[in-house]
Amino acid sequence: MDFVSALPALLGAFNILVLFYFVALNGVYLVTSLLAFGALRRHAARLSSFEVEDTLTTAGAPPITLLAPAYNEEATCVESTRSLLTLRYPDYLVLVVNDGSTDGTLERMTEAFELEETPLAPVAEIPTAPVRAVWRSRRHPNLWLVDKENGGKADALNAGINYCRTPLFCAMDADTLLEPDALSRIARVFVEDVETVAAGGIIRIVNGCSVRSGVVQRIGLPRSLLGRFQVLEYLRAFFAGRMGWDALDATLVISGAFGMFQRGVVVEVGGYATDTVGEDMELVVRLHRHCRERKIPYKVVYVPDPVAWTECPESLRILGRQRDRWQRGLIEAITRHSRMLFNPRYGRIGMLAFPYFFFLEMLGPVIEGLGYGAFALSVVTGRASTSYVVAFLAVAVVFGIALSIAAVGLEEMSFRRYPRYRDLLGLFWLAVLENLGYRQINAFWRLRGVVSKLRGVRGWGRMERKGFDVSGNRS
Amino acid sequence: MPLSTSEPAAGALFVLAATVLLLFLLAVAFAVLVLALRLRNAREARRLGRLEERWKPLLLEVFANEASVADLLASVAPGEQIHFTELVLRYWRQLRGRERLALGELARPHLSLFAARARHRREHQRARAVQVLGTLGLPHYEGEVLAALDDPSPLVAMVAARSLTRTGRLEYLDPVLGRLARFAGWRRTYLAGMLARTGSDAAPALRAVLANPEQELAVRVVAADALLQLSDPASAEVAAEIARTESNRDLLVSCLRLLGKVGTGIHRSAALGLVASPEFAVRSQAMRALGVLGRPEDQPILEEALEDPSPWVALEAARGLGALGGTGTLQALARGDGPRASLAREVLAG
Repeated sequence: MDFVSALPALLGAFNILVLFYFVALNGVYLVTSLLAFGALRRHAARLSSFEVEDTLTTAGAPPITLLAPAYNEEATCVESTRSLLTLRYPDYLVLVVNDGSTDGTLERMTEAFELEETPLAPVAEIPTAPVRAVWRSRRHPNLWLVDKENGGKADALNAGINYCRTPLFCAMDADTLLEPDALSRIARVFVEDVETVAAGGIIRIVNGCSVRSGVVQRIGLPRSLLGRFQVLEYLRAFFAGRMGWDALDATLVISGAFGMFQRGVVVEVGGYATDTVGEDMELVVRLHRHCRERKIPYKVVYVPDPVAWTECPESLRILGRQRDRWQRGLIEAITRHSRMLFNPRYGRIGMLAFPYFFFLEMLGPVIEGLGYGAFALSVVTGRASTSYVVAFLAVAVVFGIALSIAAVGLEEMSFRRYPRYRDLLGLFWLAVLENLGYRQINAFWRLRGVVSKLRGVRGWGRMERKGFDVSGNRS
Repeated sequence: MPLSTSEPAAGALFVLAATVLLLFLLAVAFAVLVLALRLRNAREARRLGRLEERWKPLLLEVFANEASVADLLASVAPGEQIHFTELVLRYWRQLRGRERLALGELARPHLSLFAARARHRREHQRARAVQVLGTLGLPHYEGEVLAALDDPSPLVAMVAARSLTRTGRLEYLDPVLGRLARFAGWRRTYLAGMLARTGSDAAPALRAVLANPEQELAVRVVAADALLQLSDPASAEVAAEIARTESNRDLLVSCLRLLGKVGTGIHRSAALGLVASPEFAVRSQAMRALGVLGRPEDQPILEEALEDPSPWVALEAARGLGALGGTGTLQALARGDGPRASLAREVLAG
């Protein structure tokens, strides 16, 4: 049978695969959204039953080290660090790791915080690029800076872990702004359950918000459409996605922008992997694997109320690079631990979360990309009915809209961070609008990430930061 | 095969169209629900805002003795009592002294509502009620709060325990200590902090728990950590005895830490006996205690520990050497570029 005669059968089979992928993906989204609904209600009720900060502002709150790796962050490092120093938590250190910046990051930090070189010995031996010096602020005794040669974000975090002397550390990006009570809120899960080894909070987008003294003062949507799409995307990912997976006790991702870990366990597993761009997810997968294989009781959780604000890319070029990198990171984390796939030894992680990430997130872009091609070919060769194509696309679009609106509903039900009606209606409109190009281009970037991975592309790609709007006005 | 025929079956197409319609209606329903939720939330926020605007000036007048408690209470309608008490609770956390007494008086008439809620079927309602009663209603409602220590929900029990220990009243310590095993999943330093809030009067009871081998290990560890927070000198003897006779890692670590803080030279042997423990956490605390309790002749032990595979043990040994006058060794180490040179530099820099 030659290719031409086999084409109809191949197209048919592929179309079934696409249909199956579509049903599975949206089915999972639906289930996680429903689970998130119940989990958020329970969470909100629990939070209303006692005062979080009152619980943790007394003696006995576990000491925490905030690790903020910085590479060429001169635009935002001072503002971000200042914000970290104003957190409401009784016992914490800020440890900025200058990862061989070639701009004025170290100079700006030294000047702003009166840093002076101070001897400090590492208490773990995770291999890293050489550390040049350790600095401490004269003005803020709880601010330290480790200056090291460039080795990448994971390497910088490992250097920070080596110098961390507290039982918990919080890994974040240098440009992340934490809300004043974020540490108390995320530390709560470690206080209430000693089995918790890692926890992630919610990441929100700071573009469009005004920031003063490192604190978000007024919340608004970004001006650019691209930024706004990402707001909706993050709401969906964190409320409908991570909350739902957490309800299943199968959290596999903690964002590198804001996560808290038990230092000892992370040292035990060897710290962050430096040979991947998905070091945040890879660490969480490795923690699961480590604890399951050794039968250590543990928990990895997502907590929806501690908030970290981060700047999102507002140009197609930079956003494309970010998504390309995220996809490569996902592939690296998943393929490195592929033995967990459908392996009952790893419980819900192996039987639920891992298959989802393997087939729907990792292979998804490939199926989706080829699906678009097959779709087009089916139409061109006259093997697809226009009515079917239109109806099928309509199902996909309307389902997507319904899920996005549900995610906005989860936000409204729980934290109500966008109090203006204009923003709420704007989010509804975005739920419709994102189907007209944004979702498709996202799928393309993810597919490009798969291709980049296959071509052996490494590295993060350059990210550009504009800095926060500190004028008190909306940007 | 839905997409591979140019002549679609009408039935299948109908199913797809119906699905689209259903999903569209679902999306619209979600949007309407979200808007309704927003309207309700906004209305409730406005209502509460109006109430607070009404009460706050009166509250300030009560604090300034320009209005009586009765005046303010008269402005609270029956359906507003819960919210009024929540407002009082907020102020109570921020104020002290005479203002707190006034707030207590303002809350008192409404606390029976919370006492009823302390038996609510929902865990979070019970927890909130116990929180309010434990903060504003003690000792009047101590029966309800003490009963909450046995609530099936550990959250409610913890709220009760925290409220009771926050009063600093010794009579509440025993009931809390008796239920401490219920909180086995909580971080021990946190529990210790809670117990330590009772103050130094709690020390004898805590020492008794620590010394009692019949008690659960986790409870004894919490007692040791609480004594550490209280810096109770009399507990050094108990800690030293445990260090000599027991083998549980966590208990030894806590007792050595306690010895390092409140022990004296006579407890040195307890630390010495554990410097070779196979557990690095025990070794490091033994080094720390030895640095405080030891004598100059203990320096060789500390020098040897500088080469310990655990950086924590080496760090405590370096500190100990610094404390026992072994600066010569540290200076020599600091001049080199060996793996422990940075330890020596850190200790020498103070």
